[in-house]
Amino acid sequence: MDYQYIGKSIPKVDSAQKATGTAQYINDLSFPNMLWGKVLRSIYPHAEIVHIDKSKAERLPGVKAIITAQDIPDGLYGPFIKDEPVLARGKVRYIGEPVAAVAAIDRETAEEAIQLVEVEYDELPSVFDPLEAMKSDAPLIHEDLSSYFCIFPAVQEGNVCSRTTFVEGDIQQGFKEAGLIVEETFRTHMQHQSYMEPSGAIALIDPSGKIIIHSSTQGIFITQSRVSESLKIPMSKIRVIAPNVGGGFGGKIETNVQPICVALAQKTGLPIKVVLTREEEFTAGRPRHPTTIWGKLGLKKDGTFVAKEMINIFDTGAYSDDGPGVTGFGSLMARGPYRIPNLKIVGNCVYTNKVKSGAFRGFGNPQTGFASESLIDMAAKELNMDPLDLRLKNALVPGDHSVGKQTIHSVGIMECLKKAAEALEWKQKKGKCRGRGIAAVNHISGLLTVSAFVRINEDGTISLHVGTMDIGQGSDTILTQIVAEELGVPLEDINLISRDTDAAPYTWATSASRLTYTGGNAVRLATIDAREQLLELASKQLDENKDDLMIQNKKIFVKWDPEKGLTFHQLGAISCWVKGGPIVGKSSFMVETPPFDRSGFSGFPFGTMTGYIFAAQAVEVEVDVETGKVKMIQCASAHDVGHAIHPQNVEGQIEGGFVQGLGYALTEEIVFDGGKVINPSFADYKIPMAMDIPPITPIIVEAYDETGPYGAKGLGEPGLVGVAPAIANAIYDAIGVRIKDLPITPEKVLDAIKGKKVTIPWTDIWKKNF
Amino acid sequence: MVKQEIQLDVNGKSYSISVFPQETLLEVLRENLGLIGTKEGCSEGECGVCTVLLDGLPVRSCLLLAVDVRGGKITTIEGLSEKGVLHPIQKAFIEHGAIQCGFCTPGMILSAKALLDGNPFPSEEEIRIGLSGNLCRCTGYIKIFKAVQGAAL
Amino acid sequence: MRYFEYFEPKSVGEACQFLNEHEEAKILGGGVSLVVLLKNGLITPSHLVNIKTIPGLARIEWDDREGLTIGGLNHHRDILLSPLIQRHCPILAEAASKIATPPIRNLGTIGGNVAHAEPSADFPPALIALNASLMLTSPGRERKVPIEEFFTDYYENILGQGEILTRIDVPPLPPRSAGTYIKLDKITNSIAIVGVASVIGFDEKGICIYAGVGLGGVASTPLNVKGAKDILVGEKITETHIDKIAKEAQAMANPITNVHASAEYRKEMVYVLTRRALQGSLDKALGR
Repeated sequence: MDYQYIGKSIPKVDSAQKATGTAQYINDLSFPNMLWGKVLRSIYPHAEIVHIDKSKAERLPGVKAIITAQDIPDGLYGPFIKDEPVLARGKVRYIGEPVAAVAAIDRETAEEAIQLVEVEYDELPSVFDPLEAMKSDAPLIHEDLSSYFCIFPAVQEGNVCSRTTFVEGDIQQGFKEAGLIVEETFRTHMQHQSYMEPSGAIALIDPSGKIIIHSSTQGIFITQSRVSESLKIPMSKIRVIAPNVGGGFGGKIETNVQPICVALAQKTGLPIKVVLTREEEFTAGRPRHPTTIWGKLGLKKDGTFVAKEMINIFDTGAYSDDGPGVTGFGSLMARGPYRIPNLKIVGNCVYTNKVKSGAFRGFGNPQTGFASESLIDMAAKELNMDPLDLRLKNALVPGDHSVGKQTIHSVGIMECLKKAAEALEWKQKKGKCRGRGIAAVNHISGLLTVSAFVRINEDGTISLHVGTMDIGQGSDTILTQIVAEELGVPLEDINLISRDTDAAPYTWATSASRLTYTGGNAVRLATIDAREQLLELASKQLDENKDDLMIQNKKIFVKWDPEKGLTFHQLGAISCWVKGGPIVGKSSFMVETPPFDRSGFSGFPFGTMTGYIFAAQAVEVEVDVETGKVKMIQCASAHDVGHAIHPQNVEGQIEGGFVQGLGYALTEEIVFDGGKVINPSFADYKIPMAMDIPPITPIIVEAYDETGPYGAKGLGEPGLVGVAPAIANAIYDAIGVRIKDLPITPEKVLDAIKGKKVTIPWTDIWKKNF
Repeated sequence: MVKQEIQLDVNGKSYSISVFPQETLLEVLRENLGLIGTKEGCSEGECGVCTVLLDGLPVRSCLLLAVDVRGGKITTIEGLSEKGVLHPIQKAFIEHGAIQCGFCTPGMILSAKALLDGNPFPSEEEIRIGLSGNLCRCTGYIKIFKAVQGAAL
Repeated sequence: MRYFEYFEPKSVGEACQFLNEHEEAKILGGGVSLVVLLKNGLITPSHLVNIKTIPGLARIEWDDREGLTIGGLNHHRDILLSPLIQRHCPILAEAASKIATPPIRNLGTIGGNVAHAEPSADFPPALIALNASLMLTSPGRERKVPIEEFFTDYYENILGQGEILTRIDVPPLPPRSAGTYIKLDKITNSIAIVGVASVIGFDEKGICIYAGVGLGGVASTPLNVKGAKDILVGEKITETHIDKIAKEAQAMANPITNVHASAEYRKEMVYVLTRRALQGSLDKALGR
């Protein structure tokens, strides 16, 4: 099909302001009489708060307010389990937890003031390892867990705040049929999103008493909802506006300082700005969950997968945040893009006295994917099969099922695997100490809701109201392309109105790789609705049959008589002033079909999901066997996106995701000493820089999805997911050692070369528990 | 606490400002001069979003005390486009899809400018070195390299 | 940042005098390390003395007899691009190229890099391998000290009250000589987990007449592998010599464990990198 805008890499609608430095981010905004807020954070991982003395800080000139839990409503918040207070109430559960907050005339005074707040603590026993935390005698981190409100029927026990289980077929029978069983325990680490812009917010109260929050966020409505539930303010009294957001990668979906900012604004009546320092980002942000994963894969001698069992332990830290979702989704994806008839996957989301983990590109999938894709290569070795062939033998084909028995029609995994491998000349001879590895990825892009209004203005230009957040991934451009395509209008005629809860209809966050698929569907349907109304009006005005009309160049006219027609301008004016009323196309899109067969599900915190997307990452590495250093030689990342609406943008997501995956695999790790982060800076937490980037070939695979807009599916997350296992597999291919815990540091590689046995703690107790 | 009077030459304009000795150039640019295109990302010289040019060379404005500029000529992102006409590097960044969230973009473009001013036809390796002081978390850098190559042509 | 006063001396003498009178004053050179320390509150000086206002502290000069002179205020970038350094001591340019990134190299100074006494810094191993000396200036006095005597502990040096590192002197190398600086880093140009510099010089018969090996990141100070000279000078270098020096370097290393690497790993890498650095210099010197 021929499209005017779809499939074209037009300049992104927001690039020019970003290129000139005029784009405004949270820290670029200020308001008259604005105060700086600063958070006092816990220095203990687990302690009772005995007493807080604010008096010294209050006497510091320039200090306008100091708040503690006593000064604010006792609401608890969180996306799945409402377990987190705005400021610690009674006790602290991690080093970095907000205990008090100060508003002062400037940043320096606020910083000085929090140092004058004296907190007396009574330390409690702490637990940092989720495996320890699951023991019956472990210190309880949330004594009141059973009383917390959960948005889903959570399965809970001790420090396990959510346990999700998926069972299909009969694993005992499945493993009996297996000619080969591989079994291993893996460990993954804590990675930080490291968006370049630190999180922040500004809260102020308008003369009517409405609270206005400028929020660096991936979801304006999520900020609205969390502030509402935590401070017990009706949503009707909260307006959230987002400026440009300097990256998020999941870390800015949920609120961070927003409720604190609001509480300080309420206390002082003045605008309050809080922007995190980079150190606070690392110590009190929302990083990727560390995990310990035990997995077992059963295969027939010919390589056919017959059974898989996995137990995933996600360390969610002191609060559940997105942990139940991450654990549930990561476990749902743990089968991988393969047919496995007998399956049992258990995910445990476990509290510990560390910074809370949350959403981060991949949402549990990078962790389970690392274990799953490593196991496949271990099996390939035993069967003496090429790992690529073993994957291709078991890969899903159109008509196969998801976990939960949805039929998936659009499946491009085979093509992704083949093309990524081809790009590396998979079967060609390799140099010394060089190896190739591949990993397959499945993910989803259809989840929850987006709603959109498309208005035809008096002059025939278009207003698109949609609550989506473009945080750099390009959704504003893609959604604008969709409106332009459906109405045949130029891009500059479209006014995209998002970023404001008072102006845009409800939309869940920028998350789950979903804005092209879920958001694209909503915007397309709303635009079609507006178009039909335009045609209806034109048909009445022209006294012609609607089917005999066509749209071109902002004009609706009779197909065989182009002279007989009305311009969008005329129609807009007529609708607003004369007849029919203003044209507003609308769509409230919710992903509801196909539903999961939930008979084998327990404790899964989501409704249905769809828009399945597939990817394969392949790498060639060279290992320096004296230093253990892994050098990336070449890489390929192939993605089934259904239909690329903006190919350049697709490549940008593939490349960006891959490099973030490189950091995850090789160099990035938040390191703790007990409950304290010991590398909270870019000096000690190393993300890839320009000189570290290997050649990466982005490959676009288009397995048209008839449920997506123009056949499109999503993309954002999978680019990262397969990188770490592909590298681990390549290292094995190069030098015959298997790295089972991330990140793959030179030291671990060298230890493995020397045959040092790495035992990841695991006992069968965990298995018997479930 | 004593403020000092300093002269700053920013984007060809001369400013006379009084500052405390501990104020960084970043703070002065953003807070005194309202030049918000220069960003703050880590405040300790690691991320590069605060990059500005000092006498044509990229420096960290978060590590440079304003009193220490001492007559040097500062160029910020606001000094690149003239009367709304984008600099060729800015155009190349847009055209090549080198901009995602945009937070690293001003610093990245300034580093690219310094690189191309000193070396109009850099190799890819020279581009990587030239941009190595600027972290980007969105793009994976590849489209940025292409944009700089594009601007060099 | 805590408040401090700011002073711009016009001469070395004035700077020394001021520092002498103000015990809590600190020298501001490039500032790339200092400003971070100020921001973190790790130092709280009463005054900053900006020695960049003193003329003559940034100069790179060559004298056939005396060798190379580098001013304490020369930026890393100056060292990287200086034709004199390229010709006479390219290992210093190599070390400069491995320090952080251009915006840091444009502000940071060699004097600051040395005086900060960070044991992982990149210039000190190279300067040790070059047998460099430092000129320390105080009111009415100058003293020249071999670089390895300058460092006393983590971030500690022998600079006395009112004393400034004004100059670095590198004696001339034999005509047939070469140096290599290798560093193991987590990402490109991040802090050295281990850094090793080696310089070797030969006579026309291929007999070693100069050898120096410096280590970074493996002890509380940069280290001079003094045995390199004893083992190599007067010899035709073989694999056995290299191995012996690498073992000696390893024996000297007394590293710590931190977020970047364990002590054990560092210790092991000293051996590997010393071999590579020596082999690299050997290959370069012999035109291989």
